[in-house]
Amino acid sequence: MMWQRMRERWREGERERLFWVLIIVLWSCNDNRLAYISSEPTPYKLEEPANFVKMQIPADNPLTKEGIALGERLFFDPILSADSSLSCASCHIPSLAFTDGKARSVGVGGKTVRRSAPSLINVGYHYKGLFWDGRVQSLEMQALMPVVDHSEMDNSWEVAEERLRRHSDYPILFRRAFGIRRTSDIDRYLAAKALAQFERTLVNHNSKFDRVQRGDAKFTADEKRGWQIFFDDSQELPTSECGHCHIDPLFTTLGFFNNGIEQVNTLGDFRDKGLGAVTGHISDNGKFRTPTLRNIMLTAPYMHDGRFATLDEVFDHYISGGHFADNVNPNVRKLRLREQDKKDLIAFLQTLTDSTFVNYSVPGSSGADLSLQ
Amino acid sequence: MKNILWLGAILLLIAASCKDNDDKNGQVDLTFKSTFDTAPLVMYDEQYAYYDNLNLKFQLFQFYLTDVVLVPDDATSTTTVPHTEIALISYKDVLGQAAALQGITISANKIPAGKYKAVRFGLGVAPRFNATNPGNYTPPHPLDDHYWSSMLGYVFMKIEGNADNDGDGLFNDKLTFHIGANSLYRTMEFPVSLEVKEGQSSTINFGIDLKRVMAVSASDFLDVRTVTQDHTTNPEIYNYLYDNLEQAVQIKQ
Ligand code: HEC
Ligand code: HEC
Repeated sequence: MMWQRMRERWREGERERLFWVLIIVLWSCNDNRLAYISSEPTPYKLEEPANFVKMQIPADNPLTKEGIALGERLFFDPILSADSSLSCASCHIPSLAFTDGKARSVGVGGKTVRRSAPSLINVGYHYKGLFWDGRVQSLEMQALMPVVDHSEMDNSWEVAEERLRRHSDYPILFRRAFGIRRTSDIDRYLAAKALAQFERTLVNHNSKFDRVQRGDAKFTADEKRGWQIFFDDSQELPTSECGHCHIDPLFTTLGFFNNGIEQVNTLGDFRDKGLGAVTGHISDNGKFRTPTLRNIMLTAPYMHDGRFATLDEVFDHYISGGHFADNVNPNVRKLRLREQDKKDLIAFLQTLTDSTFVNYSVPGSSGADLSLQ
Repeated sequence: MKNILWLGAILLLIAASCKDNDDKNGQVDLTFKSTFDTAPLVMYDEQYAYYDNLNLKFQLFQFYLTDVVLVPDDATSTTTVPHTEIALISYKDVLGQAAALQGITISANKIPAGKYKAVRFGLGVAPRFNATNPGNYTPPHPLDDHYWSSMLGYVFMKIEGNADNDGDGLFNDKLTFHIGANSLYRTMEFPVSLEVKEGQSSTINFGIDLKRVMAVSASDFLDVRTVTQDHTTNPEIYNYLYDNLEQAVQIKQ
């Protein structure tokens, strides 16, 4: 019936009026505006270093150029925090290998986070669990948490979602990345997917160490000696045992250990139980995920609570063999390292600095094009 | 004569592709229970009496198996049935008696029904795998870890634990043994009488006595007061431990 009438009117020369009505309807309805924007995300091929384990990329969140661009924009945008004061990058600063230079991070309103911000370099390879205690399994799950953590961004996702929906650019970016139809389709899960995609691209394999491995550079004599001590590689040199847990190429096995930094009387006494709080096993108390030593010159202070300000302090700890507790890993043992050995080890650790992301802080550097086509 | 061979080949092909045949499979579980002497091996909590009044505790015991196969009970057959290509038998997460009594199981559920007379496996990481590295794998995979880059190979066996050498009740003497090299790889075969039935599962039990890995007898044992570490550096120690590991793996069917 209706169609027939409309067709008649069409014929009767009402085309023009109808056309304008349609335009106005489309225009006033924000949602339909999106329908005119292309939503064919471009697959992105991540360059994976040959000697790294293969990255696990969830089938329902493949890397795309548009997804990564959106994730990057979100990562650097304070819009996600309660008072729009902090972005992810406030605590994960690119020039500090995505740490924040603080012993323990500071969140919205000056609240102190209980732990130190870990580097996000090669975080896409952290397949044994995320956070110092491994309590989350995927980057998609992880990305949901800082936004609502009271000592971090202290927001609610309802508020953050609403802000993204009302924003002038984000609906377009979500459309391009995930093909949403309406702005109301923007939600935390898509935001988390985009953040995860961006984080997976933070791959570092271009330090001097990597170039030496590839035959494109040479260690100095000090660096070489440090390298041999680090990996217990020479019968003539002392051993450091570092390589057991901080093995290349990631410079971590990602394993959870008590490396003896905390003085406790019993395993129940750890101020921060770490893995133990997640698994409920008392023998896991005081265990934390082994952090990477890549970019270690950029990520001071050290350990999950930033207790050591310098690498010198770190070495003094390991040389002493650490505090005793029943679950201190036996690879942490008294070392016979002299001053020179320590210097050489630090010279070697300096070769793990990779400047790939150091100068990068401007969102949009991955080529996000915001203009309507 | 040629024709008969062809006919045979075709019949074989038909038999192999025959759908029914696919379904005539059963599951075979190989369970590896570790003990220290006769006590179930539990990480961290339990202490174990060693020789010379020494006591030990453990944080890790693990080893690799490669090319686990079943040998059909058919004198003429030279082909074996693959069970598991590579496995890491690790007691890292055995944190209580229940888990210790359960052991570590590797399963395969496409084992053709029939009778089998032996289980065979390589102890360690076979050279073809030992030439790879974690970069070849997507986790989780037995070979995504335990690679020692400067030795260009995997650590076949790890023992990590603590001793109480001075008897003060504190287990603060540290023990770490990480052993692996192509030359240590060896094949073991255990006779079994196993009948795999369609749609059913059967279990073969192995026991591994960690005390036997560290010691041959009261007069021939790894003295943890003097040797606390070996990372495949001293042949006397690593050969001793690896040869012992071979002896310590026993079938318990
Ligand atoms: C207030 C500072 C702060 C802000 C803001 C912040 N983080 Fe973090 N981040 C941390 C701290 C501290 C940890 C370690 C917490 C722990 O282990 O319990 C962490 C851990 C992580 C990890 C785990 C890394 C690993 O290897 O386990 C990821 C991934 C991460 N943050 C991503 C993000 C993203 C994405 C955002 C923005 C949505 C964000 N962070 C915002 C401080 C912050
Ligand atoms: C038993 C495994 C193990 C061994 C051996 C080991 N580490 Fe660690 N390392 C860890 C763990 C676990 C942490 C995190 C501990 C924490 O924060 O509570 C850590 C933290 C560190 C940190 C701090 C990194 C950061 O981002 O905060 C540095 C630096 C470090 N180790 C260097 C070394 C050096 C150098 C050696 C050799 C002398 C060594 N480690 C030996 C497991 C180990």
